[in-house]
Amino acid sequence: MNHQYIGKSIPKVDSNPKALGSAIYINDISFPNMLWGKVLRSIFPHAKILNIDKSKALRLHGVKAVITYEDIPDGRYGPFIKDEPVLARDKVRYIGEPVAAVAAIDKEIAEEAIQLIEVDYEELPAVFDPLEAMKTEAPIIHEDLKSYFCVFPAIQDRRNVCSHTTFIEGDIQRGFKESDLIVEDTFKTHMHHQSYIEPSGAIALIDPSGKIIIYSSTQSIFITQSRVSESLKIPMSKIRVIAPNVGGGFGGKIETNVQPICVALSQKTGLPVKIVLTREEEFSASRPRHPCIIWGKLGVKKDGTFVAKEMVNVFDTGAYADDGPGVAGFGSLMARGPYRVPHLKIEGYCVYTNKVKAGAFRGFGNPQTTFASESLIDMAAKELGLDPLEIRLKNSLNPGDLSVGRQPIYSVGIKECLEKAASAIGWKEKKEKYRGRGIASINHISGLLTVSAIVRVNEDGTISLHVGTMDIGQGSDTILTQIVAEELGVSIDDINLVIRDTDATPYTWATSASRLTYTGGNAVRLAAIDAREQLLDLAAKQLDENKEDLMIRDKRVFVKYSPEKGITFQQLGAISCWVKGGPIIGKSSFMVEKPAFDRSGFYGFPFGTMSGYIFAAQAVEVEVDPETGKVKVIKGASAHDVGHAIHPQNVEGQIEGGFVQGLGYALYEEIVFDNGKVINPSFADYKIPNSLDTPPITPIIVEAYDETGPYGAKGLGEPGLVGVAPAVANAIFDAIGVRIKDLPITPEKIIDAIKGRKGKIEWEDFRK
Amino acid sequence: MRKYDVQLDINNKIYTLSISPQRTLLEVLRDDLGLTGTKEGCSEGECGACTVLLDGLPIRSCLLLAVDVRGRKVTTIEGLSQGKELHPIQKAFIEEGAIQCGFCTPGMILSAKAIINSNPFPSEEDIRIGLSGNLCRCTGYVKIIKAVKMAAQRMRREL
Amino acid sequence: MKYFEYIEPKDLAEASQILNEYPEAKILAGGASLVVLIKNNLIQPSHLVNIKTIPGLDQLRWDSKEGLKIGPLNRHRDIFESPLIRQHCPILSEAASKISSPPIRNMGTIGGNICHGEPAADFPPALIALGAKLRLFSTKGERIVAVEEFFVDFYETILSKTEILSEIIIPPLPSRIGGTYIKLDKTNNSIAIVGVAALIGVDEKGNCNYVGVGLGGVAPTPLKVKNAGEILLGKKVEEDLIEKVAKEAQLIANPITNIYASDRYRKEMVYVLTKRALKEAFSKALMI
Repeated sequence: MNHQYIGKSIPKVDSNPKALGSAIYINDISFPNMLWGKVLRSIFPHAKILNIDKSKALRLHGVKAVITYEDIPDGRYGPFIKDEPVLARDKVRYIGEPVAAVAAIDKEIAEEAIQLIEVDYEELPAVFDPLEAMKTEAPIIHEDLKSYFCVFPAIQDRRNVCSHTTFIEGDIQRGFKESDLIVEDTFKTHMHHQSYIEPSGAIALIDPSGKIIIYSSTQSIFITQSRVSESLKIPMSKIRVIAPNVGGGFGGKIETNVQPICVALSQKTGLPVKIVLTREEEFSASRPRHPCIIWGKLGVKKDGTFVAKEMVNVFDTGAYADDGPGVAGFGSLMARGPYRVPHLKIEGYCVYTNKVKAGAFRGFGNPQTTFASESLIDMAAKELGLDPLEIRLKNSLNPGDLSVGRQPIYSVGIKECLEKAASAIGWKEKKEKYRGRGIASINHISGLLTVSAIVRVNEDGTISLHVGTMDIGQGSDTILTQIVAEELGVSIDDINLVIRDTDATPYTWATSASRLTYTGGNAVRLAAIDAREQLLDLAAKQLDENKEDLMIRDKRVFVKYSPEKGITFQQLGAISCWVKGGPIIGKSSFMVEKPAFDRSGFYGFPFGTMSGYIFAAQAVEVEVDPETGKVKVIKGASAHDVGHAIHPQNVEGQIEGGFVQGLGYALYEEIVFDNGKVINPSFADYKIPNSLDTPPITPIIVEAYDETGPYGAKGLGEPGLVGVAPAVANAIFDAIGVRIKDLPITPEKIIDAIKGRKGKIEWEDFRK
Repeated sequence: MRKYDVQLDINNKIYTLSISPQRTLLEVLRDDLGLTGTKEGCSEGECGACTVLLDGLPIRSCLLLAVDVRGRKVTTIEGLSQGKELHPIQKAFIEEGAIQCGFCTPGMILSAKAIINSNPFPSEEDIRIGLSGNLCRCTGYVKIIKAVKMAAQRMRREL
Repeated sequence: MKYFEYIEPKDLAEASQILNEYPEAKILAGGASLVVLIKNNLIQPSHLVNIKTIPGLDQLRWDSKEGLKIGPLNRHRDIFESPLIRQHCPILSEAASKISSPPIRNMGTIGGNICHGEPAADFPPALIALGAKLRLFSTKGERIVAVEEFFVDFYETILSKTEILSEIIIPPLPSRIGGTYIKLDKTNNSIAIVGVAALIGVDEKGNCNYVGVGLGGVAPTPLKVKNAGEILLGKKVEEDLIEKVAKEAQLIANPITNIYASDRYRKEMVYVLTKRALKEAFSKALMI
């Protein structure tokens, strides 16, 4: 079907100001009399707070406020478990936890002031490993765990476990009995930081009416509003959140960090207060990816058919739950992979430790479990003498197969993804020495929770699209505008995009879960259709024609068979505002509710339903230096089933960016701790790939049209990263015959493995 | 605390300022001159968001003292376009989809300008080397490299 | 950053005088390393003495008797681009190309890179292999030291409070010489995990008439493999001798374990890299 905008890579609606350097980000914003805020952070991983003396700090000239827990209400927040205070109350649970905050007339004074705050701590024993934390002798990190409000019925059946999710399908014992081969191993993934180039920040001020205005570099204005509301006990009607351009997020800017503190300081001083995190604070006190220890067991038939899979995924969520229950639950849900596996028992544990809390990061638990799953498949293939590509194709889902939770999935392009990704890196071609190829295939979702939208016809016939989604670079502003333009037959320029303001846009959850094309696209499309129907209704009345005989082109409604009889949007806009009918307001409130999961095998799963299943295959060719262990990535290919590409160039950009982040996850990046302290909190020591580290990458778009998506489209934001690490691990094995099971794969680990000095990942089945 | 009277040549305009010596060029550009196109990403010379051209060469403005800039020409992203008319590099970035969140973009574009200025026929390797001081977390660099190639091609035709 | 006084001396004598008068004063060259230290509150200088205003410190000249004289204010970029350096000691261009990224190469100076005392810095191994000497100026007098003698410990050099590096001297080398600097890094051009620079010269008979091996990142200071000459000079450059030198390198290496690598890995890699560097240096020499 020929569309005007759908499927076309139009210039993105937000690119010009960014190219000119005139796009405004949080640190570009200033207000008269604005103060600078700075946070005093805990220096101990686990300690009681005995006393905080603010007096010296308050006496420093230029300091306008110093706050501690005593100055703010006792509200706790968190997306799943409300366990986190704005400022530590009774004790601190990680090095870096906010303990106090200062507002001063400039940054230097604020920094000096926090040094003057004296905190008396009583150190407590700390635990840094999640398996240790689950033992009965481990220190308890949250004594009041059972009293926290949970948004779902969390299963907390072990020490320091805040959530335990299990999926059971079939009969796992029977499954293993029926298997001809069982592969079993333990894997470890590490803490990985989003490393968006723009540090997080916020400004809070109080407008003359007493309403709190927050400028927030965030992936969700509504989550900012919600967290400030619940933690500081302020009604949402008194909180307005506005987001400027956001310089990347990748999950790390969904939840709040400094926003409640800014608000508290602004309330205290009556002045605007800005806090922007330093890069050191970003690396040591924000919300990086959950490390995970995974034990996995895969049972297969000798022809390669998957029979049974058992996994225990232990996610280390750090000092607070944050997105942990979701990550543990979702990562475990995705762990079956895009395959038919009749017998499943997959468990996710979300465990507290005394380290910085972990949160959402592209993939949300899926990269961790997929690393294990896709490595196990290659291990099984090796033992059976099967091609890793063939074993995956054999077991891949077909349209009509069921998800975990028994939802039928009709849009399934995984086989095409696998074949195309493999072909793009020359899967069957002859290989040079020390070179290897690896592939991984993944599933993910793009339908979750809600987006709502309003499409108004302005008085002059132009259009206003109100939607609360956040474009953080992934292109949603452009895509949603394309959809509305297509539905209404207007040009991109005719659309006024009203975004990023909780006062001006209806509720949406977050830029998260790869959902803005699918969930957001559906919402804006329905709102546009609603507006279109009202336009047609009004036009029918004005033209005295039947609605069915009318069509729209170029902002004009006309009679199909006598096109000279028509009426422009401009006229309809004016008439609706001044004469009859009332202003045309199309709306939609799209919530992902169908198809529902069959939850009979679900225990402690913290989400409602999910849909919009998306699939991808990632393939890579590497060259390994056998003497140094250094891995050179020769080329990569990443094929994604996006249903239908609304903006192909944007889809490619997401695929490429995700792939390179995935390489960083696989090979270079790691947050390193020493007794709970992050010891590499800077870009000097936490290395993300630069332009010389990245290979040629072939992005491949596969379109298995999804009837339930807008124009057949599904999502894309996260999968780009998810399968890269196991593809690399598999390629390294193919190159030199060593399998590294803990990320990141460093040259040293490869040399250790070659020399038979394998690092042992400690695993004790604590479930016994 | 002493301040120094300096004349700074920013985008071919002379600014006379009284600056304390510990202030970086980045701070002066953003806070004193309102030129917020140059960004602060890490403040320790690693990410490249603060890249400006000093006598045509990209440098870390977060590590350069403003008082140390006297007598040299600074070009920021604001100096690249002629008013509202986009520079060919800016156009190429937009057309090739090389901009996602946009935070690295000003620095990236200026580094691209330096690459093309020193070599109108840059190879892919030249481009990768020239951009290696600008970190991007969104794009994976693929379309940025394409954009620089496209811009170089167009700028050659315009010569 | 915290406040400091800022001075632009007119010559080295004045600069040295200021260092004498103010013990907490620091020399500002490119600022690529220094400003980061100040921002991280690792040092808090009372004065910054900007020696970029002193004329003549960025000279680069060749003297057939004394060799190549390099002013300390030559930026990494200048070293990389210099036709003189490419002609007389291309290993230095190679080292320059591996430092960080273009913006840092446009700011950082070879003098700064040396005086910072970073054990994994990229110039020192190449300078050691070249047999370079450093001229240190102070109002109390001048001295010339071999590069490898310059370093004392992590970020500590023999510079006295009032001394300033004023010149780098690379003595003339035999005509048939080849060299390379091999750097093992995490991501491209990040700090060296191990860096090895090797130079081999051969005479008409094919015997080794020059060898210099410098190591970075494997000890509290950059190191010279002192016994390399004993092993190779006057002999045919063969595999077993190369291995001997590589073993020497491994022996003198005293690396630490940090977030980038363990001491064991570094010990193993200095052997691997020294072997490779020597082989490559030798084959380059043969091509002349």
